[in-house]
Amino acid sequence: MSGVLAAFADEAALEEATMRLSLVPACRLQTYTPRPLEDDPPRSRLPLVILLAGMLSAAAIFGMETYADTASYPLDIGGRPLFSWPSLVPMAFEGGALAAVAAGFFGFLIANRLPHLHDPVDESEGFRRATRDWYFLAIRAPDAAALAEALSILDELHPELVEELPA
Amino acid sequence: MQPVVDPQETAGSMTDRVCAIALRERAFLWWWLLMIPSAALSGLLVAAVFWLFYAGVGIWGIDWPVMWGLAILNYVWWIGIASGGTFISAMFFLVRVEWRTSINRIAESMTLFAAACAGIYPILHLGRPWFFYWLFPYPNTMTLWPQFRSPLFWDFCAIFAYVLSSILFWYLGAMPDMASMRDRATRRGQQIFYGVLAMGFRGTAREWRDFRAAYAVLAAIMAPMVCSVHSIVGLDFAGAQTTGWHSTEFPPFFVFGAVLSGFGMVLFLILPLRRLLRLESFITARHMEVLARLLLTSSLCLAYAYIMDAFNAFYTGDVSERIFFHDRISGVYAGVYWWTLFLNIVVPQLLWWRRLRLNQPLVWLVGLAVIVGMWLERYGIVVVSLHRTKLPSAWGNYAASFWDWATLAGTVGLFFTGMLLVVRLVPILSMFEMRELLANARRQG
Amino acid sequence: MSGAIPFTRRQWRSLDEIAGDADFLARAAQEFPALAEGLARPESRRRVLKLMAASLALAGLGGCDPGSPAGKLVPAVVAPPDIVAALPNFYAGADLATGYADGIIVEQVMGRPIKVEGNPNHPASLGATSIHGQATILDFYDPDRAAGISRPGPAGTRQPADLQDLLLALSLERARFADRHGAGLRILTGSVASPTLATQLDALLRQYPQAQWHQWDAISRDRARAGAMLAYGRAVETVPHPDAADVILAIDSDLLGGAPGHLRLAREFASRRNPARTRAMSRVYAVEPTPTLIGTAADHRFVAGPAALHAVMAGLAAGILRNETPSDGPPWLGPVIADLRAAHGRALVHVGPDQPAETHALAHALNEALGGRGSTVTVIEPVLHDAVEQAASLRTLVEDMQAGRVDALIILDGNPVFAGPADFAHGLARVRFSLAMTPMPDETGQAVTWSVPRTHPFETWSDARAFDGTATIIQPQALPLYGGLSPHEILALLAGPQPASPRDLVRQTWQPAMSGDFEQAWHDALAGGVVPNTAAARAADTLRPQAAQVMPPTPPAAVALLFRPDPNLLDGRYANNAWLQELPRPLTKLVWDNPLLIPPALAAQHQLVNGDVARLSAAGVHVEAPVWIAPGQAAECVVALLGYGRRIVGTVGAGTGFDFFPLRDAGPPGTLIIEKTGRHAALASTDHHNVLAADAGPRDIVRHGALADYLKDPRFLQERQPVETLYQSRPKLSAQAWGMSIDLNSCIGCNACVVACMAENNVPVVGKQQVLAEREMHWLRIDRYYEGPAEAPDSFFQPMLCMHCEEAPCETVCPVGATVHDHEGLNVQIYNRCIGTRFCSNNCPYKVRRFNFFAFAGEEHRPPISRNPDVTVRARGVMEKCTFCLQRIAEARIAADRDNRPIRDGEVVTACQAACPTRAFAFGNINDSASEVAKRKQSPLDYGLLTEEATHPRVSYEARIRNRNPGIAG
Repeated sequence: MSGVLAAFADEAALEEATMRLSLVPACRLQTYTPRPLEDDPPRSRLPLVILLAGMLSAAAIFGMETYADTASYPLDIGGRPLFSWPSLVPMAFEGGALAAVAAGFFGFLIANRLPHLHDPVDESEGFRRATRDWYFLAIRAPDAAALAEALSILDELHPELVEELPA
Repeated sequence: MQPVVDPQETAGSMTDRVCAIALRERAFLWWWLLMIPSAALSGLLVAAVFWLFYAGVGIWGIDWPVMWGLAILNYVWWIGIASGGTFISAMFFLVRVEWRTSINRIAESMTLFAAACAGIYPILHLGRPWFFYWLFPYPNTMTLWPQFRSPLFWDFCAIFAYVLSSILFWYLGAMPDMASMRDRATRRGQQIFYGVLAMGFRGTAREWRDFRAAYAVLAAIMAPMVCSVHSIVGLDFAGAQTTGWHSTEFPPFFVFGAVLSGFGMVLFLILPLRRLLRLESFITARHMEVLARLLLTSSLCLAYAYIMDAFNAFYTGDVSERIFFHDRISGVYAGVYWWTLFLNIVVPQLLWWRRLRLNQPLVWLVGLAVIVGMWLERYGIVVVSLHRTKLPSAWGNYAASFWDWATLAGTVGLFFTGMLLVVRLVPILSMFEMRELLANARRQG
Repeated sequence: MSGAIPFTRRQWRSLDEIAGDADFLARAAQEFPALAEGLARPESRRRVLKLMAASLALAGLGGCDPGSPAGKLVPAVVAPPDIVAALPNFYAGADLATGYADGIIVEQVMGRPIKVEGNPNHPASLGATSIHGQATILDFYDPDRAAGISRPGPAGTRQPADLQDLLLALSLERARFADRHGAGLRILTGSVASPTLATQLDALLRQYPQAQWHQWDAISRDRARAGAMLAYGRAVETVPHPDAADVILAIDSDLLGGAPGHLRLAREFASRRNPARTRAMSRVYAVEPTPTLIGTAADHRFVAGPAALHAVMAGLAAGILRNETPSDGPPWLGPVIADLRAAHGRALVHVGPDQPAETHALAHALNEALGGRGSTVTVIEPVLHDAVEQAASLRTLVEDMQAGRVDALIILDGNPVFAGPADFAHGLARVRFSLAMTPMPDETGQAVTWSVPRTHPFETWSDARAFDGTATIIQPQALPLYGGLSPHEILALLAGPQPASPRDLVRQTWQPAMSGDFEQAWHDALAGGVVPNTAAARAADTLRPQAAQVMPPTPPAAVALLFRPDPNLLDGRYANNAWLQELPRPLTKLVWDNPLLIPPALAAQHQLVNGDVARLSAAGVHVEAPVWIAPGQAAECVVALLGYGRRIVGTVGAGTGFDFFPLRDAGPPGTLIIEKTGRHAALASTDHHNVLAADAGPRDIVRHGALADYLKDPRFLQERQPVETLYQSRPKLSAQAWGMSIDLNSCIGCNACVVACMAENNVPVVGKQQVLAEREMHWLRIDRYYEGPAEAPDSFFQPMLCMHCEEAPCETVCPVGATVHDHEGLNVQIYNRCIGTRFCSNNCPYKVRRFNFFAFAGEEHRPPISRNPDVTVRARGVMEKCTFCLQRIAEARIAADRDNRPIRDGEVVTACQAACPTRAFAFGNINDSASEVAKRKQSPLDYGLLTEEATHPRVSYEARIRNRNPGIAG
């Protein structure tokens, strides 16, 4: 399997290239952009993960507090009822929020297989501009024919840079 | 309306400019001039903490009626300052305010170090700080639990969650910029440093999609969280029965105050930074204008809280509340009250005038005034409330000791040390968001 | 460290050193003829030395060994059958702070004294203790006592000496006394209330007929004695009976403070002070220049300086003794005289020891005229042995010393170099042989040729009479901790070579007096703490007619300097007692200091504020001391408290306070000059509000009212509507629900409870600097509030301790559950769990929680064995507070469980309750309607403090009622 890396000066060029190259059925495309592009489906499932993590954690913490106060080690504290639920809310909320934030952060890492410190595209010296102002498209073709087709399309798009991608 | 970014700037020039601060340029003279005293003060903090652990909290000025002194006061003050960053970065992210982009990294970093300064106080102030972990509900052989009804426990949870969440939120938001730094770095050490921090973020479509989703949801969580933290700090006091503390208005009151000092500190930091780092084209007059208005708004909110505080002292009909309020405005600590009003309420009124809002030294001074004013407000709440109890036999006074002041100065040093390190190590503007901003501007322009 | 062993060791070393000394051999031959021969032969010297050491050690032991009640010592490893680990033993004894015996019982744990309680059998105690009785424990263990016998060294230093050096020296002295029939021998004691000591002294004076005995106390009751001489012609003593009095007139009186038998007098006083529970309320008037305890407790307190007091006495004499209308005098005098006359046979006039003899004589006449003798006052035969006018006695001694007429002076008691006139020390320097018995190094011990440590009263056998003559045999509670001799032993050594056992001496005294089986009677007297039927007989003397005619001399009109003993340190002998140093004085709440007390008007006149250093000059003597404004002090009076400013004292008392003795002993003060120096001194007072309560806060903190209002509606001081609370279901009372009721009518502010609490609960002392930083640790404090003008305010005492709230604010705010409720309603503090957030203290409306800012307990100047082993010693960084003496509850609970029965009412007595002379505290099960505390809580005067906080305190108070005379305004 071989591929090429192409760079474009702006987002519009990248979009056009993506559109046109996606017509080459065998090629797999991967964009690298210095800023997020407009949303397109499929939508991320992270929000759902975060919501679930937050809700379940909050419920679990509330349950733990209830168990601690009423069953595990009931104590007479200032004559208050054993199950003083309003005072159990803050920890449930804060704990749930922390769990949600952690789920978002680590969920992002896991979903994108990060940390991922080395990738073949890093071999390209020009790729460093992917985090500055150029918009990159990595094209991986299963065979030479598909690669040739892709290169011919690329030629028409006048990319800023074309480099061969190591395997 | 003034532009948020100088129209001359492009994504490339902006990235180069921002990355160069940390990567290319050698440390500036002003940086060293600030860093040396800051580090010295941090050293003082280490000494103060060492002596504290060795000798006990008796080295502070706390006494029998005033069991909480500067430590708790500084804690509330720092955590209030911390709120400003979260507010700017989370709340205004949610409402899609474009001017937020160029200052949210500074604001969030400020949050981080202010929260760190705040976070050490609750542990330092314990009589036996080495047992602080007893606040965790961890399994132990005695099957003992923390006492979930205590506002201090809530506070512990809130601070714990807030500090960790702030770090994660800050780091997540900085990850794409760490990638930019990695790719701009030329020296091997820098490449490894930023390469590790960037974790391999390269800006693929999927990364950006999950990043945006996660960041947005995290912002949506951080916004109520920062309110809850300050409400709970308010409950530390309102949850007690002490005269001067026992008030239902404390949670919003504390949020107002926190936000005010947060905005004050943001102004205090960015006004010099934009000059010193030559970021005038990214942090523009527009930012000063907006922040000044926000500061004025939160000052007015706080004025409302002060009025209600005074009103309640008489409305409740509680004799001791009335006596306490009388003592607060005319007793030995009356100066604290009046200076609080002057610095927090009167001084910010200058910002009604646009010309004054654009006068940078003046706005900077107003920011400083508010920071000091909020410290005094907390002095009034913590110390002045405790020194007059319901039983006259337990009245007393409070005077902070040298070690109290050393700890305060030390955390100030720690804060600025952290901020100065951030300036040298971390992209000071959120570059990927700036690129979006520039792209939008180009599209509209 | 036991006393016997070091003595033995020192003897070895010393004997080696002196064994070759021919002079010593000569002397030894006189003392120990059997040994002299052996000592002269070097080859057997070592063996002989051993023998001699053993013999001397036995003598030393005989001198130091008190023996336990059974004559046995308590071994450390195998305990005898009557010592059970963890269970306390109790031995009766006596506290001698007032010079008379107050019966005590010493609680011992594993053979060491731990706590002092009152002896209920003893007429002066009735189960209560004074602050001094409570603090004896700390004196007993004081490490500063450790210094042994000392002699003058080079250049003003002292060097240690050995017991047998002293024995040899005394043997030489004995020979000298015998030759000269005691000429030049002087013995100085305080008042003698010990029959055995009296017997020994009499015997000694018979043996050496030319010897002289001087008596002197730094704080004497000379004037009372002189008053009795004026009134009855003889030093009879009087015993007041406040419980029999409907009307009491207290003239600068120490009836509740320091009078002989004051614990009993306070009990009797309180028995007429609560209209809801006690017999018909008495009415108490107090006339005084400076506030006293009875003045604070009185229904009417009149401020009167010396001139005004003179006028009052004249008016009383005219109105009561001569049936005339007083020509002048204050407006209230008429109604008071009418009241006293109306209560014929039930009226009592009491005069304090600082008033002139004529005033005392007049008081005797007034009591007789009011029909008080036999009902409110008893006149009894003298209790003290041969009481003399002490000022004259000491003056004679000083003059004789200066004239070189004193060859040998034996000081058995007191510290005359510090507290006596300045020329005492000069005279003492001219005495060839001077010996002082000192409880610990002091000024007198420093100036004599032989300073001998005196055993603590816990360490020797003795006896003493109470204020009414009842005798107590004092048995030792332990072996001498740091060695020492008792006065009995020294007197015995003055009389003859045989070291006497104090136990035998005391037994010899009592053998003739006890009828029947002596051993049984002896045992009963020791066990009961009193010797039955030893109370002094009533005196038959009649009042001399001229007593009604005397009139005290007219005082000068200038500002008067009054001297009073410090209520805690007395004449300075407790200066090294940290508990008493840090015990807030009843009204000023000052600790660790004795500033000059000045009235508010004088302070304003000289522009002095608390702590300003003033220079006080009188009779050519200057003292510089800070001032303290004392509300309620007569405008023309300045009060100096004696006993502070000790120059040679232990670690604790060093550098505290100011010595006013030089001013007192300089003679008639003449004109008193007060000048402001412009300097300022930090004075530590535990009272920080510095304002009068009128503008201080809610007025119902100390609720009080007039008897007339009470009679109209007994519940007039209680709330009408219940407190509203968020929690609808109040916690139910458990079967055993601990609670307390404190009667503010009974509380006289004497502080005994505060010291008892410190002793029982190992409450640490923090020192002056930490009190200045407001970090004192007292679990129980007595709040003092003023009401009214500063010139003559009403004062109120309120004991304040943990209220054990049912809905305790402290508990809900503790994040680690270090303070929780137990099943019997106690608010318990778990020191091990506490991490020191201090939120509980902030949230406590009563501010009764105390925090260990430093490791206070570890820094205390006391050996660890002195602490109560049943109570945790708290670490740095933890909160502590009153536990209702949880350890005592646990002890009672274990005892009850063992017998399978509930805890009986009265079985648990808290330390404060036990010490209280007036029984202001009641403690027990509030769920048992038959218990005393439950009954007291039914009192119409019962109220809770700050109940609007919805704390539901388990401690409640009985409001103070004052029986005001409607005829007197104000």
